[in-house]
Amino acid sequence: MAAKAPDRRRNNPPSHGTNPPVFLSTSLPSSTIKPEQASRPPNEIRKIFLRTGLVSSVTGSSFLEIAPLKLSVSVLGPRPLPRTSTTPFAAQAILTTEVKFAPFASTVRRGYLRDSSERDLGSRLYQSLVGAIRRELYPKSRIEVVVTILDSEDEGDEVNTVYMEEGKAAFEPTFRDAGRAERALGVVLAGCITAASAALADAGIEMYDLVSGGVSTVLVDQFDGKGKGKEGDSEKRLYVRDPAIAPPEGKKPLATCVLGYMAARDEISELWILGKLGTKNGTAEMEELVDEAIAAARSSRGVLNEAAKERVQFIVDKAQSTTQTDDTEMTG
Amino acid sequence: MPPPTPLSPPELSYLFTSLSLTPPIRPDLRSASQFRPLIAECSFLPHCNGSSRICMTEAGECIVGIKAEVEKDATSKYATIIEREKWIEVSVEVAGGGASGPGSGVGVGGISGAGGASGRDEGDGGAAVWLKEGLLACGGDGWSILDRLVISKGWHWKLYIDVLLLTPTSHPSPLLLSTAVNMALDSTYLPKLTSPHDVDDIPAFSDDWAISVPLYEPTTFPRPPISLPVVAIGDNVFLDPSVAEVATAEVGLVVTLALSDADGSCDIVGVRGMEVGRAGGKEGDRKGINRKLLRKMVTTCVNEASEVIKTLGETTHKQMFRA
Repeated sequence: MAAKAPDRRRNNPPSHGTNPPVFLSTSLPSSTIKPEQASRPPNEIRKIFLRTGLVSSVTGSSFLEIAPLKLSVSVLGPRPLPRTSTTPFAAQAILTTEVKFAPFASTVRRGYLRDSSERDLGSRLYQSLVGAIRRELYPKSRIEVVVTILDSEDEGDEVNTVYMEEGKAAFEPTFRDAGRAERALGVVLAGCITAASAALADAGIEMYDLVSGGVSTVLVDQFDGKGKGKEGDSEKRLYVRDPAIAPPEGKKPLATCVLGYMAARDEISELWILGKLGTKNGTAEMEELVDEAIAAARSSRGVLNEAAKERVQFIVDKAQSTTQTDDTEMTG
Repeated sequence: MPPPTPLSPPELSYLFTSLSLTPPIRPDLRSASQFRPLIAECSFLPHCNGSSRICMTEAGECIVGIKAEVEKDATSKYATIIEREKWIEVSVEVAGGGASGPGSGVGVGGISGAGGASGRDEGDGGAAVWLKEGLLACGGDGWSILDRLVISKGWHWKLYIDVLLLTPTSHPSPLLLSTAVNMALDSTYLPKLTSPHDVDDIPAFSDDWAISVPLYEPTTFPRPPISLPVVAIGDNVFLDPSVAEVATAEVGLVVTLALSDADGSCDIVGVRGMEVGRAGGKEGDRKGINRKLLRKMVTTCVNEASEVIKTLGETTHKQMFRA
């Protein structure tokens, strides 16, 4: 008879055991770790920390940190489709993506069930990865990408507050920032895309190209908002790559672009633009914003390459060491 | 998950070839930027502030009802953006409790009830998210629909936009849903406030519908947004793709536009990737959009759509109960 059915009543440990995590103590005193510089040039993205192979019980995993954003990605599979699946046969691997904020990842507590914005992020992530994976090489199997966001830059703080003046009927917002929540999600999505690519590479899943995420925002001066100088102010537009959630002083965000970019193929696998872009000069405004986001994605690609290399290096090292031992055995 | 199609691989391959020709041959012999005919009605639900019904030949039929409720602000002095964004609630429901037939589940990031990106637990995600997103993004330049919902100090309208898709097995085209929402919003009227603006007592309204206030002033801009699906196969760009075309397409976008002046020029208020089938092509073909194609796709939308949006607006205004 085949192996005994797994005991589903108890929480079993993984059959192959796990390794305890090893934490490196920070050798720097806390005073030397500076908070993020406020004067980061607009064309520079924040520093990214990206490592693979953090979770030992899954096929591939990665951990990403960009200033306050912290997320971990696990890739499960490729593994056979469950027999109870609604699609018992698939010519190409079925990819599923799941994005979940930890309940403590933002000021407003998030429940354990995924809400609509998390589901939406999941489908955006799916869209950005699905074209890059060589799914035809894994028939009758599924690949799961699970993203857990541990910490994020928050949406709700006092800058986000619209002040209602006493005795005034309508809103007199001193500051309107409509796309704020979406911009926060955009930064998270870009992080998810980059980290998920690294995790897929760590899992050894074949891909056409790695996908890296990029975000850019276009800002205008806050006070030229209504009508006047609407046409001629294109030179006053400020394009920021990897924007902070709070826009700089006196600037008002117009639109944000998030994309998944395959640098080696020069293709955009996922595009998400939000905000108002004029079409007086055709699509020039949009293109400029997209180009900035591509530049941001190119920058993060460098980090992604290094992270993906870890795995390759590991395999190469292992292969070399085994061939060496083989050689010695043969000679001996 | 790519949309399930009733088409076989040879059929898809045939479609792919005919759609990548110059000039392309679409299965229904439309030109590349031609829309399918649609039937549009509005202001026909007596219990709603605004309503519409859109019927598209293949893409199905849907009804939108907009109801407004008076609601007290959650916080009296401060209202955060997050709190304000809850003033509009969009829900998309598929009549008959979801579709599982062939051709369903195609949508922008998954359509509610019809099997979304992950094929499960798509309660209110998918379509409702991007419909609301376009609505809020529309007219960020010192104007927001949320300002129109303020009644008086401490009070606002809560807008419920309920979309009911009547044909569960059809392809829920983003165009169908957004056209319906656009038209319903355009025909939405709210009762006129009779109590003073600056008092935080319970507001009082006139019961005379003849003096009710339109949510979107018919002559002002921006107008409600509309989302256009556009797909590309080879170098050809197709507007308003059919189910078969989406299944064959290599890449797809949904471009959300809002009319910004009387000349018919549009602002882009959102662009999203669309799930397409990627079937029929060869392995190692295009996996994403390059910049040249992106420009072509968006330009096509902008150039061809303004007339459609304008006409739709005129139709709405002709049909409105106060016209």
